Amino acid sequence: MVSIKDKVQQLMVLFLIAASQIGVGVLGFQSIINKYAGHDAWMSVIVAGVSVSVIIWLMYKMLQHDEKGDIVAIHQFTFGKWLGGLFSIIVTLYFLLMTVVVLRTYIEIIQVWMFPHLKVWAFLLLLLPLVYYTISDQFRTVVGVCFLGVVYPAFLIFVLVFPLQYADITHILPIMDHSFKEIIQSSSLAILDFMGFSTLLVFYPFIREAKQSQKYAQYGNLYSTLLYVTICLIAYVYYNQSELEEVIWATLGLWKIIEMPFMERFEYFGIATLFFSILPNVVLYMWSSVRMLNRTFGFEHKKVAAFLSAVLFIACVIFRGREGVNILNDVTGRIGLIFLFIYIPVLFVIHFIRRKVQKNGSS
Amino acid sequence: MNKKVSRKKMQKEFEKLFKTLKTKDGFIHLKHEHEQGNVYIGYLKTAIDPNKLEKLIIPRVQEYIYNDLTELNAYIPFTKTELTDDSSQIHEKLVKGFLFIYMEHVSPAYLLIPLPLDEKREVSVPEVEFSVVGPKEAFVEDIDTNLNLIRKRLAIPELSVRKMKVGTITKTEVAVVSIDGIADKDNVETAIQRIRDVQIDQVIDSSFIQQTIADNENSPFPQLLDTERPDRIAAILAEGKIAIVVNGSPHVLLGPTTLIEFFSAFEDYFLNWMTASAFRLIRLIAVFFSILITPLYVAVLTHHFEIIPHALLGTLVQSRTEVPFPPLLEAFILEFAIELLREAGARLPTKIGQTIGIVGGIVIGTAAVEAGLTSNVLLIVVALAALGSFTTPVYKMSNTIRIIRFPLLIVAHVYGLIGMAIAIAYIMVHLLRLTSLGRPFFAPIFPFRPQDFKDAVIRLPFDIQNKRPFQVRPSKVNRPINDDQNKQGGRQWFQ
Repeated sequence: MVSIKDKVQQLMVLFLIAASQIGVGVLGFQSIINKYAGHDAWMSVIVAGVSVSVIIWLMYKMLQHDEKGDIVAIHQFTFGKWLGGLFSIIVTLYFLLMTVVVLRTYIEIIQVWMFPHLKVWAFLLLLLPLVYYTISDQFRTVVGVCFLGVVYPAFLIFVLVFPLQYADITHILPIMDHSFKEIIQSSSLAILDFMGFSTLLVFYPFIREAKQSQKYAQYGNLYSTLLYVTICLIAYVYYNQSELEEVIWATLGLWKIIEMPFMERFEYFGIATLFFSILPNVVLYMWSSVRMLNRTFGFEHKKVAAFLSAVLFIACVIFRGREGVNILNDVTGRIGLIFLFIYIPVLFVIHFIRRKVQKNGSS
Repeated sequence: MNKKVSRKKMQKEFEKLFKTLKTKDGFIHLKHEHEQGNVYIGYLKTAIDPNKLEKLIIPRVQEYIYNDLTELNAYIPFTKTELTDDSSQIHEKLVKGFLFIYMEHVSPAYLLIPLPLDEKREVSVPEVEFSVVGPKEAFVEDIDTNLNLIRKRLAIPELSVRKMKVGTITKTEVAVVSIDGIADKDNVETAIQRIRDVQIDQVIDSSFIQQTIADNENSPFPQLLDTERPDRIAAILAEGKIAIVVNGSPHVLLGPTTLIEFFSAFEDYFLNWMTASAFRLIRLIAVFFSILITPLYVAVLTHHFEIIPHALLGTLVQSRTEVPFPPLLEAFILEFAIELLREAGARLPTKIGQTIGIVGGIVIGTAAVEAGLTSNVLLIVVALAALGSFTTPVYKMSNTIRIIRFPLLIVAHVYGLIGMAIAIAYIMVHLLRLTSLGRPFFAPIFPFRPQDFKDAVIRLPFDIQNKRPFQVRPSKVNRPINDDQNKQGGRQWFQ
């Protein structure tokens, strides 16, 4: 059991969910989701947000029945010790993979926009001790990073007012020009940015009176959805469709035109500031992996943290170049979709049946 | 018969003691011939008050009529005198400022009178935390005077003072002060427990306690605030915090504290809330500016020229054309010069220190620019950064700000803005992990406590601050400010 001292207040769920969903995706998701739904893709973001909301609801339904209330406990209850353990390892690997994706994509952006010759290992040598330092202590520290990771970079959204002076509303007209199917297809691409909320399955027992905290989780999801929709709309009124197909990181392009008397090329500053949004993603995923291994096998938290940091280092160095990162993103996106929209509902159903069976058996 | 033997033994013991004492520096003894037998007065010259001795003790011993020391004791106008036969503890007492009277052929044979020489500094004006308005008293070295200064302001029976002795050699008196019924018992217990566990031989100043009971000794941030203002201590005690007074130190510690509290001067409470809030904001901005501006200069000029607007680029490039060094080295030279000046100024007597400041500031600075060693833009930047770090009201925190800049400078040179972001994240995570007496140091920002923001970055009017800070988990949360609350909220503390 998690002692009451280690638990965090309910409000923090909002920041945990929001911080886990806002990450490297905000820099360039506009041109990715553009693929099927075109200028209507901002609606895909809303669809994605709503579907995530449903999954959060499912997760809460599942989690609140268990005393220990995390995915490891659910796995063991549903599939028994061995099979449950195996599934837990798979989920751990998924979290690790997500860490690699986030970190590697961010490094890719740094390489393209700021330091073309940046060595991945050199950068990681500075960064990974920080990750270890954050996750090796109490969960409180991770939550703190998430909280500041939402609050501090929030001002970046105001900066996006600058490009609006070149906006052309006709770029997103007519609304609903695409079929419903196309919008859904695009939203499946948008989901990749939202995937961080799956860590809820692990940190749930660390919330005070967790059963009542669902509204904060939903608010968190609402916040990030609104943020994505806003950024998406700003990009869509600024760029026209053919431009959108060309640019890779649309948000960075928006920042690029900002001019202030003391600063130009805002994207340099923006990428650096966005580090505070990336860090929560990384530490939350890493912490979840560490916690999963700790719960499944009972390994010491700090040792697992050190071990996984080393694994992360190697994994990030292995993937090379733009193509590698793209493949990594695509593959992880698919795995994430399967995990969230197939595995979680299936798990929910099996868990539900098991519970009914056990109830009948005992009574 | 038996008694006589023991008296003889006593006489022998006394002669032995006398022999050893005579070899000690400053031991003085007077002999007075009394009809019962000789009376000796012995003391250490440097340890006792000679005025009291001459006016109050000697005349009584020589002129009054008495048969033994018990009778003499009745004439002595001091409390805490001791009558004893044990000669082994005499030496120890002498060192502590006692004077002994030995009388032959009687029992008890020794009368010990405390006459310690009180060399105290007068209560004076606060120098480190000077304020233009408000009380002008500051703590001194003596623990009793300091406790009195606190008691004067909080004359309530609930004020509790718990004393203990710390340090295997110095046996320094340390007092933990709190208000019962407001301060959290856990906090008080934590403080007392930690002070008891201190394992050092000397406690010369409160800083020794500050460092040894810190939650994380390997942190550049001080985790207990130290102040020389009794008014500040009275205020924080009423908030539910606790104070630690150490004998021999004019600085009293207080905790649990937060990072933001280090940037609040007590003068903020003497000004109206708008002005005070504005000053606090300026101070906080100054701190960020002071830490970040030089690394930013290095990062931008080394890696990100593109950020600088065209108009500004001209000025910057022009000032740097003559400089043969990379920005990092340039910044290091100037920062080092500033640190040198500061250290030299701090170690020298005040008057010479001022001269050094002027010589350093004007001569070295101008000469460095003219010689082309540094650019004059950087000179401005570094000077402002130094100025910014001086605005921090607590000296120990301003030292932290001084040194925290250097690692940032190096990463800024190596990794540019990204490196700076990571370095700031390191500091952030470190602050998130820090605690003060077991309470989070980074509050009220995280854990997020909107209630406590009324007296953090800004200071709202007193009647809005109707709750004690949640940070310290006060036993009574409500502050009795208006009448309704008094009816609900139990005792009235301030009326």
